[in-house]
Amino acid sequence: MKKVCFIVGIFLLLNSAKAQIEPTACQSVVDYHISAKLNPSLKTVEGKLMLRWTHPGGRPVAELYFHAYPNAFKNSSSLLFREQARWSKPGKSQIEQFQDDEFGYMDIQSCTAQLGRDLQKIDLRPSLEYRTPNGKVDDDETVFCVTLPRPINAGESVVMDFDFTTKLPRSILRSGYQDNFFFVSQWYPKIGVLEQDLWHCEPYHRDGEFYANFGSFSVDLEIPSGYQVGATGVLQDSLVSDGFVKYRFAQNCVHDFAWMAGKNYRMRRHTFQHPELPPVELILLVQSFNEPLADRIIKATENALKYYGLWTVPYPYQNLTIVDAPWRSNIGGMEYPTLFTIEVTQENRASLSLESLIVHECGHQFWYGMVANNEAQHAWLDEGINSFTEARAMNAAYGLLPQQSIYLKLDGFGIPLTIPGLAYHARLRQWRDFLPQNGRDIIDQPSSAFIDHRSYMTNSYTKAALVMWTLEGILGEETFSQIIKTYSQRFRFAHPKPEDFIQVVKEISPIDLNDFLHRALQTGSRCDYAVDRVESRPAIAEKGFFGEHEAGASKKATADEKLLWNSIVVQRRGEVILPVDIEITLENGETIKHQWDGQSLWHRIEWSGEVGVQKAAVDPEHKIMLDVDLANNTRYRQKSISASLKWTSLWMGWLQHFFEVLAFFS
Amino acid sequence: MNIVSALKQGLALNQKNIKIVPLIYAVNFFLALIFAVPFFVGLHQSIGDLGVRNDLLQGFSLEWWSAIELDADGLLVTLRPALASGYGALFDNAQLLLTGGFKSFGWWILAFGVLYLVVSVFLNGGAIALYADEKRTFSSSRFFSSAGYYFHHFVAITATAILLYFILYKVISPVILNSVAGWTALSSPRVVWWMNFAVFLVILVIVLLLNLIMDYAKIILVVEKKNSAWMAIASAAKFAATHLWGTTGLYLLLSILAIVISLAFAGLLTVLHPSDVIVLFIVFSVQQAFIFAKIWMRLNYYTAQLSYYSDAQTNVRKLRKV
Ligand SMILES: [Zn+2]
Repeated sequence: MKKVCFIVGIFLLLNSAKAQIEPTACQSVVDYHISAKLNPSLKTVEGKLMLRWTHPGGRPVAELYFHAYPNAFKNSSSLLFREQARWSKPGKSQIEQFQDDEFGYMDIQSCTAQLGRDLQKIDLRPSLEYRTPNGKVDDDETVFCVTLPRPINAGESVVMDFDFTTKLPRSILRSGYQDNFFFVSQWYPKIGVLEQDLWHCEPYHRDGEFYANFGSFSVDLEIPSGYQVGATGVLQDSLVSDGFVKYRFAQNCVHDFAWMAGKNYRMRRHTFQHPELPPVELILLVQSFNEPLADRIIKATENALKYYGLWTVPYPYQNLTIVDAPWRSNIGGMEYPTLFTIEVTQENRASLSLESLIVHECGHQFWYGMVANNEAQHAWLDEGINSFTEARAMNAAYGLLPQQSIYLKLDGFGIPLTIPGLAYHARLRQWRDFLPQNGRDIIDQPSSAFIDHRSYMTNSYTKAALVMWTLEGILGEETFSQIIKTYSQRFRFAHPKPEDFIQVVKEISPIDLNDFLHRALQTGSRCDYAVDRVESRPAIAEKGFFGEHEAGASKKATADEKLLWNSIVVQRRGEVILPVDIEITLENGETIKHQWDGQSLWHRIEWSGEVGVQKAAVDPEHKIMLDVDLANNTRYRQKSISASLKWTSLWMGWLQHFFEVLAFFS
Repeated sequence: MNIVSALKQGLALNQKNIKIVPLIYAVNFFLALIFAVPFFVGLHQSIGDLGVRNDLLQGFSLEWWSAIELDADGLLVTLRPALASGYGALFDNAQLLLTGGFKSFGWWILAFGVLYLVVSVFLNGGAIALYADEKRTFSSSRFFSSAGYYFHHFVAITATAILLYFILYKVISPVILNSVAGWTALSSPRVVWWMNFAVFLVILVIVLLLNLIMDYAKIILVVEKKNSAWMAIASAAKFAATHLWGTTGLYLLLSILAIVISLAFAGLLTVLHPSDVIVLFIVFSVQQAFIFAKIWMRLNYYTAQLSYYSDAQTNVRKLRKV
């Protein structure tokens, strides 16, 4: 597998960047041919699937595992609903709000297989059992297994035919319908991933995303006229007949297929162009009332394609579809191959949050779409690296983010007040998000294993992004960019694991970061560097006996009286060990720089000189974004009241206003 | 009498008794100072020698505040980036008037706020009595004796008002807002936003109308020497209803003036970035002038509405004599 990737890498390097890269160089394990018909009134999709699956290598297998994810919405016994109820207030979980006709499911009417050159179709339906590679999961039916009459060997293929009906749920998570909008994802029997003789086929959890092999898709969709349609891949042709439109979409080197059909949608097309990158046709499907936002959405997508393309590998597909999903449909911001969804809210459109969302979801075309790690097992690998790249791209494209306070905040309402002169780097928002979650969980674990949803989100997204920021801070932008580039090139169209990323860091980093990566990813260790003490006091004049012990040899204090004894103590107040910069500023403005390996719990710097210390800073540039207390990084020797006076005065004014509001009722 | 002349007369009346303004201001200032001292000590302990004090002096420090925000106790929690803008306090005030979330800044601050409210109720009695006095000159003994005289009636009016506001904030607005959320579950974000905006506008109108009636209730109680607060409220409601355009027009005019003054001060405070001691002193002075103006403006509501009421009643009496 890695060999294939290596060849792809060479192929990439040899090609001029401008040339359109036909994504044909992936190891194609699956080949899906689907024809499906949408029935909007019944909310069903009737489908026929022909799948050619090629054993990717390893021991022969007879049992094949498939995802039947629509069954996550089938009944209260599904893992999804049970886990959702766990985080909800009693009576408030979505299952309790569901009407009977709003549930979703997948019915498999038939399942046959053809092995090797055998023309005979074998009926596998009787062997179908709802269980995962790790056994049965209570009454959850989101994974099934079929057993072939004989095991198939590495390199051998099996052709399977399915007749299936997917009933779409009311959309509460990623897939389903709302009114005249249908978003259809995780909707067909999708085979699991066989890797090192183990099947990866996770049941549908509340937290955790997806994993599948690369391959090719050819999908015929039959949709009643009057709908705008968008899907993974390139539209080959469309044909109108009998009040229906038949579309054919096809794409190589992708690992999933999603589509939408919606009324009241407008389509905008635009070609992304950049001198160093291949052109990409952007297809935006936007709700008519959001059309004024089309330019913003396209611009943000272009920014993502540009920065991600330059920093990782160029986007290799011909087109990219952006779906503006209805607000509150819970389709959310979500990534699928060559397609991503966004949800525009009044709140995100009022700030650059909309751009952040677009850059993030478009960024998944790189981290997920091409570099396709197992999201259910190692969510941080795509979400964390993507959140890092997102913040970096946001900063490059839009600069600092303005600080806003939202008043009268309700679901769908709020009045923003932009604070003049206050703006911050996107990574500071990630740091603020991580702070309350510090130490609650470890980053590198399966998505379904976190203490709660918030912990999953923070660890997989923001804390992992802060690990990347910290790596960039410690290694420097150039070296870390090289790591990101190498990792993306090496694992383009592949399924890397955390070890693979760590290996790339090891290869390129000039310093040993093993211990740091272990603590940051596999433990809940705290990271905090602080300046504990800054002192300058008159040095003790030279007194006593110096040299020969003779009477009268005692020295008298002379000109040395003016010497100052300076002392700085910096501390490591957490378990995470990293080399840090120490910067000392003297009273005359002169700065002295030190490096500390950060190994011991504290480190003292002492000297005498004629000039006293004004302040000392550990990690003054905030290279270590995992530091949970950035405020204690710089300390002055002498206190000053100016800032306290200023804010006390502003605060007192605020309090006086508050009193006056109460007097309104007098 | 048209509302512009009522406003003019009211301004003149306020001017004649201008000494009341510094009196109320002093109460406000010293009550706030009781908090400002521990706030300063706490803040200075936290940032006095930290590098973030520079960021706080220039603007704000999210690095510092993020930890303070999580601590969630003490006065420092109420310090927010919004206070760096002159509009921050105004937005806070508007939010409080529309939602009634007075305890969001902690019980201690609320307790002192209530104390200020009680003192204001007391001082209002003195103020309105002086305004209604024919002689119309300030005398502190008359001021305080009237304040004491009307106190229990004014307390009754305020208590009634608070009860009505409580029903508005805790019963009526949640019901309306929840219904709107239900009706608009499938609407576009923009529709939802405007629907909620409309609801808040309605709440604002109710808040102000209630306030208007309570203002006239106090005026009527003093001018007509009524013996019952509820009778005064009833008369005020009747007066407001029979003089709907005049009373609401005058209230609106006063409110426009109040908004203009507030926006001017807030704008000025937003432009001034205190980063050194002299600017800091200027900002402090501007801020105190703002509070002073706000109190002065609050009294204008009484004087202008009193002028309007007296004039309307004089006309009624004249008509009766004819
Ligand atoms: Zn993501």
